[in-house]
Amino acid sequence: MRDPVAWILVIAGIVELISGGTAARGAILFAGAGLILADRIRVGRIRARVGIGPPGATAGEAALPAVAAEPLQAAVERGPWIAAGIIVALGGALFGVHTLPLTALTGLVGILVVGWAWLTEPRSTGPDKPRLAGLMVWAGVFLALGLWELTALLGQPTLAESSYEHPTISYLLDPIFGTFAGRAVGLGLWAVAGRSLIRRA
Amino acid sequence: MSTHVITIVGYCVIVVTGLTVEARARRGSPVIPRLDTVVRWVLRTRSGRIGLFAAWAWMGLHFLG
Repeated sequence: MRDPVAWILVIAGIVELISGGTAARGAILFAGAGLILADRIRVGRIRARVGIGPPGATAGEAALPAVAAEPLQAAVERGPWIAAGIIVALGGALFGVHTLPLTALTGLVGILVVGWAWLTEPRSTGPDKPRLAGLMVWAGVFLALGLWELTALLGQPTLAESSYEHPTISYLLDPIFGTFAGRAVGLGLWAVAGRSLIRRA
Repeated sequence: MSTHVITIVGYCVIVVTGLTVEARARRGSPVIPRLDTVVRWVLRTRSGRIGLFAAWAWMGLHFLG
C-alpha cells in the first residue's frame, strides 16, 4: 500500500479509535483506505488484462470501464434535491449529536458519497499540477491544524477524556452543536461542503 | 494566560493563516494556488477523490454523528 492518501486515512482512523471515537468514525476512514487499495488491485488487473503499461500512465485509468458521474452531480444542481437536502438537514438537527439517528444519517450519506467517488471516474480534465511550493504552503496549514489538534488531544487527562484546559475542536464545537440552530447550521455547512466537492469531482 | 486560551489562540492563528494564504492566492500570487485549485487537482485522481470524500464523511460523523 504505497498510496500516501491511504496511509493518512489509516493513521487518522487509528487516532480516532484510540481517542475514544466510535467504530463508525474509524470505519469510514478504514473503508476509504480499503477502497483505495481495492482500486489499485482492480487497476492492476485491468492493466494486465488489456496489456497496458505500468503505473504512471493515466491512460491505464482512462481505459477502465467508466460509470457515468453525471447523475449525482446533476442531482446536486436541481432545486428539488437541494430542497430535500435542506429538509433532511433540518430534520436531522432535531436529534442530538452523537445519537443513533444523526450517526445513521451522516454515516449513510457518507457511505453513499464515498462509494460514488470510488465507482465513478475522475474528470479527464482539470487544473495543471500547482507549483510544489504552493502545495507545500497549503499542506503546512493543514498539517499545523492537525498537529495543534493532536497537541490538545495529548494534553487531555486521557485520550478519550475531554479537557477544558486542552480543548480539541470537537470540544469547542460541542456546545454549539448542543442547540438545534447549531446542529442545523453544522449539518447545512457539511452538506454544502459535500455538494461543493461533488460538483468539482 | 491559561492553556485553554493558548490553545484557542493557536486554532485562530492557523485559521487566519489559512485565510491569508487564500487571500494571497486570490490576489494572483504566481506560487500559491487557490484552495479550490488544490481541491480540483486532488480530485483528479481516484485515491484523491476517495480520500477527500472519506475525510468529508468523517467530519460529519466526528462532529455531528
